[in-house]
Amino acid sequence: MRLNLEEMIEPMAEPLGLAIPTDARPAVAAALQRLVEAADAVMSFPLSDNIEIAQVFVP
Amino acid sequence: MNPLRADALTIADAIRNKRVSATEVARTFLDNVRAQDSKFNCFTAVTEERALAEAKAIDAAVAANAALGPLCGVPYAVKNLFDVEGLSTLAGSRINAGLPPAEQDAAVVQRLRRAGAILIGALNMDEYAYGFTTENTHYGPVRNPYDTSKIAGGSSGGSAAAVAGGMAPLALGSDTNGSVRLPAALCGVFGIKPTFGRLDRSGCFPLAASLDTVGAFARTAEDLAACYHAMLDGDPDHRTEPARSPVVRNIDDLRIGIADDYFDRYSEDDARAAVAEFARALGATRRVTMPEAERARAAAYVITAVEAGNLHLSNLRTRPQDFEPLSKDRLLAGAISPASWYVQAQRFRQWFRGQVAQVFETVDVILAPASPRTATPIGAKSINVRGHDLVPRAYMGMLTQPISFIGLPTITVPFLREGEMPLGVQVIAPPWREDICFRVARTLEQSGVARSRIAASVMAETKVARAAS
Repeated sequence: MRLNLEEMIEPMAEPLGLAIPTDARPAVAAALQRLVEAADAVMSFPLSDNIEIAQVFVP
Repeated sequence: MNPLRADALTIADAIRNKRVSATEVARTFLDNVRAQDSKFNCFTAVTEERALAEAKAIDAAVAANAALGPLCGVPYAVKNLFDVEGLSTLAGSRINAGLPPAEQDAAVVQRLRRAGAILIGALNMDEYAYGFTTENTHYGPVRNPYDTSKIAGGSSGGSAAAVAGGMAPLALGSDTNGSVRLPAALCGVFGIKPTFGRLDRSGCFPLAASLDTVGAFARTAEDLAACYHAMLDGDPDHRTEPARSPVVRNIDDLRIGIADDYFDRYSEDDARAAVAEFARALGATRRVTMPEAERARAAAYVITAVEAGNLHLSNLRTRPQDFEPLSKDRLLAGAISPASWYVQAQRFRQWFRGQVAQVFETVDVILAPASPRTATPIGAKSINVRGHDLVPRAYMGMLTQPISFIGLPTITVPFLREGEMPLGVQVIAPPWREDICFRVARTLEQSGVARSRIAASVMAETKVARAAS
């Protein structure tokens, strides 16, 4: 799925208090596109519900 | 003995036996850094005053026949994300230059000091360790001692190049996705990334907390072992061999696998040839597959971006213009990524760990290329690896990422060829089995197939300078 990432950046950044300048958006959109592709690979993998999140917190 | 050409343990031995003083050694290295570093841009600070004070203390201990550490008088330098008392911890950034100086050394720097090592400076790196090329806009790119038009790899590029360029026999770095293993390969030196959690990270500026590991570089496997053991000193839980085994155990009992599939698909012919050469020397023929390694690389990419973006969120809000332009876009993208990507990537991490654990039921150690190819030109925007167009800054570590994703200990063993740029091979062991990595690295080195040295260009220039004087 190809999304118009430049248009999505502002609504995604605003709740975090991030103001991404207009001239920086193409580069951020390109970086986000690479992340979308990586995330697609991860999200499309059929993980069993029994797999828990990797634990890194040691109480 | 010319200390600039000697390995770390030879220097320590010479100082211990009063053939040379620690002060002479320290002054020689400090002078050499001044003479050489403009070519390679490794150092962001030279700690001359501290080095000479530490050397003086070593000389006093030698004169008094006091107990001496295993690295007594050995000069070393650290990636500038390690706290060094009195220096601002830059972590390659302009932003951190405004921080107050560190009040104490990072934990591993304290341990090296206890081992007698002499700190001579802090080293250049990718900003916030987020990159594989050490092309740092604020402090300039680190240049590969084998060809100064090429990258040293990153993010610990200053560390690898300082060792390959003969400016320090030992250097510390950090490895989140390959930041020790990749530059070690591209600069032709040994580099260790221990098991995740093995070494104390206190006083080490983070990139991605669920992946970050402290590591080290050296030109011999034995030096690397000595440095690693010095950093472990005081940890009652370590399960490793002594730094200098009187008899190096052979590897006859080890089952050695060669990683295929993903590692073949994304490596050039010469990178695969390096693995084949080492496999031949070790008598290894068995090929093993880490299932879904490409997806593991993707998951590591997501986790790193999200953790790093979150870590720097405050400064991204208030002073985005001060970040490295080459990585700011990735930090911003990571900061705004959906949470479900991160959670799924961490769940996939559990699955992948289980799969690779099954592979380690059939072999004891795995060989894999450390980089897809040799060092790229500084400034290259794209590289082609077997038909894949890739951005070097983000993808040169694509063969190291699946390994650190599940925290495995790995040593990069250098592969040098006359007239060619260096390559390296990852020697990968199950969690907490750094001892196996060292056994294989030493065996390869002793067989002559693996070796490191000061880059020929540096040696040639030194000879010319000597002849002229």
